[in-house]
Amino acid sequence: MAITRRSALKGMFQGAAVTVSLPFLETFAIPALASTPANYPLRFGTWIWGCGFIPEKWIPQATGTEFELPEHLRHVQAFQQKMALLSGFDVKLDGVPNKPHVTGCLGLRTGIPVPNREVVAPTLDVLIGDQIGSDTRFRSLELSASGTTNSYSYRAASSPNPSEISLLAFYDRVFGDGFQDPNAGHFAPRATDLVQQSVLSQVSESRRDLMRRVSASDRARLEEYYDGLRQLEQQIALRLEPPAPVENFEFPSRPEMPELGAEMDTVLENHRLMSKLLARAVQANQTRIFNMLLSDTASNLRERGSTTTHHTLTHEEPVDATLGYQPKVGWFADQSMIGLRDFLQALDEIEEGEGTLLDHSVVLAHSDCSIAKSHAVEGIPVIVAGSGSGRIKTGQHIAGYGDPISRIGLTLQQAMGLPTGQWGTLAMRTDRTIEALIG
Amino acid sequence: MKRLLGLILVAIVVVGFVLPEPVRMPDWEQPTGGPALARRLTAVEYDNTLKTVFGAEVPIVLRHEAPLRSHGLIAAGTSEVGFSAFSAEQYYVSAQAVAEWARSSGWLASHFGCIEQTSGFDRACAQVVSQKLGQQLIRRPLAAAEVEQLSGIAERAGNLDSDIGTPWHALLSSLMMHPEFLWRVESIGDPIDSSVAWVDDAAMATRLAFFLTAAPPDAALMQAAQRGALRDPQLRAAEVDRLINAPTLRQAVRVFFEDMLALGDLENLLKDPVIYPAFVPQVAFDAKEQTLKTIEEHVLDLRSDYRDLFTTQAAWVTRPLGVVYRMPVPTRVGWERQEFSDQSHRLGIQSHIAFLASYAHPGRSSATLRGAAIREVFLCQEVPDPPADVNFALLQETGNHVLPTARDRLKRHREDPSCMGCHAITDPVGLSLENFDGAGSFRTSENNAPIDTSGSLDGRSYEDPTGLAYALRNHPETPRCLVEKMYRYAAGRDTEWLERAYLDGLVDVFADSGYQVVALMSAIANSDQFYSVWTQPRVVQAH
Amino acid sequence: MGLSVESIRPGLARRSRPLIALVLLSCAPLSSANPDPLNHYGFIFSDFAFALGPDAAEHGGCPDGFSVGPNQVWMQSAEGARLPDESDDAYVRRGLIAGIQEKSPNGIPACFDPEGMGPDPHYRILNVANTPSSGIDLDAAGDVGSACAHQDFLDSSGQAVIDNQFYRAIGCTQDFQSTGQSNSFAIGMFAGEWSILLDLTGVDHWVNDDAVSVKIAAGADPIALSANREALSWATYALDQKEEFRAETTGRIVDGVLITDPVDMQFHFVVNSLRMKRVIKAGRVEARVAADGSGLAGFLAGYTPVEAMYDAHMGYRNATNGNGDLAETRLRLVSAAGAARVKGRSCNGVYHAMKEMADASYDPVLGRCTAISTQYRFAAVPAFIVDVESRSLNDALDGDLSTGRYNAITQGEQ
Repeated sequence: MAITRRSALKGMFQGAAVTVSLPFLETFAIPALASTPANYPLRFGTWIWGCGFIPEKWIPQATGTEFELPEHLRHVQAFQQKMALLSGFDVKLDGVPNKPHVTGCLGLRTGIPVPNREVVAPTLDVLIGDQIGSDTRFRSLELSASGTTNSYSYRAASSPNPSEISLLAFYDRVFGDGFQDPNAGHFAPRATDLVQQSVLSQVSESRRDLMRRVSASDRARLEEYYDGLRQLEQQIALRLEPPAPVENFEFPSRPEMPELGAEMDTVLENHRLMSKLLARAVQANQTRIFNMLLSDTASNLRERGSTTTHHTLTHEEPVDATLGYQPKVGWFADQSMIGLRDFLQALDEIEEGEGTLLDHSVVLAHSDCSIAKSHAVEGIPVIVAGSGSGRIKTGQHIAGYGDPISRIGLTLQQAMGLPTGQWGTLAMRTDRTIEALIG
Repeated sequence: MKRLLGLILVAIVVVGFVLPEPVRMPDWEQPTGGPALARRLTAVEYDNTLKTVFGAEVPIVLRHEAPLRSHGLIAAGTSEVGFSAFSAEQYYVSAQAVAEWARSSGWLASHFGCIEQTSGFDRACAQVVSQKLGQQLIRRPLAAAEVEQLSGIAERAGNLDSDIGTPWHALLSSLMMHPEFLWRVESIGDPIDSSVAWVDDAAMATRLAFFLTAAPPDAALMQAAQRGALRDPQLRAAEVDRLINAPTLRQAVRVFFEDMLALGDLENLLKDPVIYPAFVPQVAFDAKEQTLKTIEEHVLDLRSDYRDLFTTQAAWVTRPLGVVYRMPVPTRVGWERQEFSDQSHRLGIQSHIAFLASYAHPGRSSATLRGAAIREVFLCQEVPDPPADVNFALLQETGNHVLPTARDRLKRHREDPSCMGCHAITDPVGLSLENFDGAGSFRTSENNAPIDTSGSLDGRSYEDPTGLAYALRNHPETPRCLVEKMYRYAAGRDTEWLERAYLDGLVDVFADSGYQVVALMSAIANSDQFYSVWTQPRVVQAH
Repeated sequence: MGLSVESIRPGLARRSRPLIALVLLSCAPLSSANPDPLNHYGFIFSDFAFALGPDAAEHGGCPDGFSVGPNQVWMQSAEGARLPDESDDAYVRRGLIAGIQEKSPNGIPACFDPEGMGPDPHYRILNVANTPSSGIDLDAAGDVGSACAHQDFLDSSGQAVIDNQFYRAIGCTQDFQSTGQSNSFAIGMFAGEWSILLDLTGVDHWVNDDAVSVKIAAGADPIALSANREALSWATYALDQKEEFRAETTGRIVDGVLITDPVDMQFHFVVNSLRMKRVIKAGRVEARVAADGSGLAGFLAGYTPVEAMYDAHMGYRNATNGNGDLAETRLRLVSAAGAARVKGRSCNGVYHAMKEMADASYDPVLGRCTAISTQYRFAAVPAFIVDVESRSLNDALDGDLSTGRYNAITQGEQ
């Protein structure tokens, strides 16, 4: 009997986990494999800031890839090519009252225009985590920089994943006892991948027979199908390889406990330190899913020396007649984008092979409402940062024209490999992928 | 030769064709064959296959790539389209999702008693499952060796992963990635004469089923085909009759007209929200459905004359459509059936938003695009693309007060001799629809100048959209074009030169039926030609 | 509006057919016998706000400054003095809780018992003469009970005829200045929470017509918007099916201005998931109609019982939930106290100001007027108005909020 790749695999892996001394597949000389990228894990995170934005300071004039970043986005200019801006997508109320700070955020994350916190569906991060993150030490890590333990990550109504508010406690939880050496341990290919590899390789074997039966022109077309199959086989082969070793990992030292409080500068500093630690935790494969709150959806942030919170200002501050918006609220919206910059920077300064941790992640950044003054859930600002190793097309601005915001959640799930054909509930149900967002 | 006359009328712009050597035209009922094809399943055929085989609960997760349209039809593109890596990934995701669902939902166990009854892998059971699912998905009986191979896949999977459902998951995902599931690969069957043969029995059933049900053959049809019934005119007629009277005819009619009218393209249609605020994204979706509902009712429920689709005042509407049509729609969620009033000037599906907005620009109407579409979509007349270096600046000046209406601007544009030829063909038709702006709303003036909607279509002059509607309805090419498109759709390719007599025969049958679309479909499904192939590959001749 | 009469006519002509459909679709009685459907025109409000006069900075009518809000007062009280080492956050939180926990002498939460709280010495009332205010001369028109003495504002010709005592009551609060927050309740309208419909029949001419029939009613459907969030013309809207939200009256068009006769009307709106009623007694419309009927803009004014105005915009005492039951007490209380806090005016301050300014519905037992003249400005765009039952796709979600968790600290400030 001729030794085929398939029969060899069958012999090698029957029921056994393999300790890593691979890449074993090179033995079988699949030409394209030699040039495939290293196997960096895919990560997904969310990042939220409260109380919306000032549209004229945030939404670029143009859509597509040629656009100027408006004033409040100047902070993230360095990441313009690494993020996609999405404007004009709505939580669809269809006449049902908006529950301020709840309906917008959880509507976006669950695809249900929820009237209260009795969330009946898992949030996006949990759905995606089940696909890409179930085999790490932590299913997910939640952090909040402004002292509130609120979380917008739910498996169901009664089970939020509470946010860690202390930098030190977070450090101890992740980097204290129980920290897993990112490069230690055994790699066992998943049995399901082995099965799929076997399946596809046998499907490919239909080629010779079929080619005999069709015309010359059809042969060329069917050849494209077999090319497609081969690419799939390569993708699965990649999954059978051990993950790329974690390089450049510096074990972080235990930080000083920073000043705590809801003043914007304090929060930004706390958030910056948290982001750096979180990025290290993700780099070290302690989790693939992370959720960061810069501020609560009803933002409790304050300007130093003021006892009025960001949220209170949205209700209280007069509109500046010249500017046409609430200037102090605008200041918070602007400062929040500094937070986003710090977060993206923390991910982007960790190099992984040719790219960075950010390049191998997808971060869904958004607020809970659009115009803070009205707490409207129509046109909630969204940024998708990081291409997830090419799964997301970045460097562009996409306008939603009032489409349901569940289209974003659907598209992200599909980009992350979830077999989701439609998503959302009632007026937010959609099967319309945002094709432009998919890489 | 009516078609030739029609073509000569527009000969100055029609893409040239080469007359082949004189050939004696056969009797229309005598099959002349055609190529055996490898057609890729269309998006709707793929989805319908899953629903037919697995039931309504099956997860539909496939994101289909943009289809190839050839000779005006996606269906005709299926025998030309290739295969992208994107599609491979998507089919794979779908295969995994369906296999996982079939395993975890209990679908497999409830449909195959042997799975339910065995605790581990059972080869005999795998053979049963392979045979049955294989026939449903690959649309032909499987050879023993193929059953063995599939069972082997299941067995090996079981060896790699001890999960009890793994063999069945593997079996199913291998079937769903099988080339003959994703492609309709036809084989040649018994000979008819020296040069023409039947396509094989399974392919006959497949051609018939996808044509009349937009889904794969059911078990009864497959069995009938295996008995040779489709090669027998009378037995075949019984099967055709059964399918024509089945509820699935509805989806088949919808799929054909969606293809013919390119309604799927509406899903990507965006209008400038400042110029056409009423054209919110939902309008495009509802517009597509409106035209399909109108056709469905007209063709199936009323069995009306196809030509009256161009003068019908049936108005299926939703609230978002009502805003563009400027008519009240009391129903908040969903559809209601009204009639367009005489004052609305809306007669026919060519006055629907789906047509008017599709053949227009994001910020303005287009008499040229509309005129070209009337000719290409409904009359099968070809209009060449504009030359690459043409200057459109003038036409785009919709705020031009010296040339306030599209007619004024196009008239000036036509003074350029290089533009004149084509625009003389398209504009007199399209200008009659200038009463409808780029979103499809009615208007009587542009830039405060009254709109002149007079025009002519191949010798018939008229004053307004109503006149155009009747000119289109009464145009001799209108029913012939439907025959041609319907046959191209059914055959999955362009028509062949030798099929002209056959098409003439179909036109006569269509006319005799009072232009009932269902009668035309029945005639095609009952004709030997539909199932015949050449015994030897030939160089395909453009007709 | 840019729409010509021609462009309207065909659309309106079609009104006749759906009316027939309506009979089939709904058992509800037809809106009104319409002898000539051609003369039937619907509109939906596309803008709606209190019509107030100039800001304090312009008229100088607030010589003692703006009203001082309860939180500022608390911070200056002994109780509200900052504790040693109290962080900003803790201090903010203590102030918030103090506001929610404030009680009247009767032991009732302050915002639920403004009468018991008595007038607020920190509240300021607008006191100015000869100031313009846009709106309608109300007391020339209707009998709303013996009026109480009040000072009218000047109309555009300089005559003191405009009744707008609500403006006096709230004119010296920061949040009712033109840049303030309290007049932004129309945002709920654009979010689809409520709508107002105007239905005219018997219109023969848009410039002068001595008799038209008028219906002003709450809508049952969210306003239809473009992708740019502007109200669309020619959308269809169902009337609210409750009779209490439908008012019918008569009117006329004089030199292009629609003038309607007084009628009691009532609308509904939503704040923070709380359902409230907007009550207008002897309400009237004066609005300029576009020459082609493609829109109108003007004033809706009337008298609102002080208690009703207080409940609608300040106290939320009778606010209901999605089921029509009295909403959860804590939600009503936190919303009222939170609003008072962030908007810088106490519940009892506004309440007693409105009581003092009331100029209609004289109650001989109480010896004072009980309703206050209130002016709204509005704009409206053409719409098709139908009388059918209408339900949201999302209705299934819109249940009793009392089952919802409510976090007083993070959510307590609305």
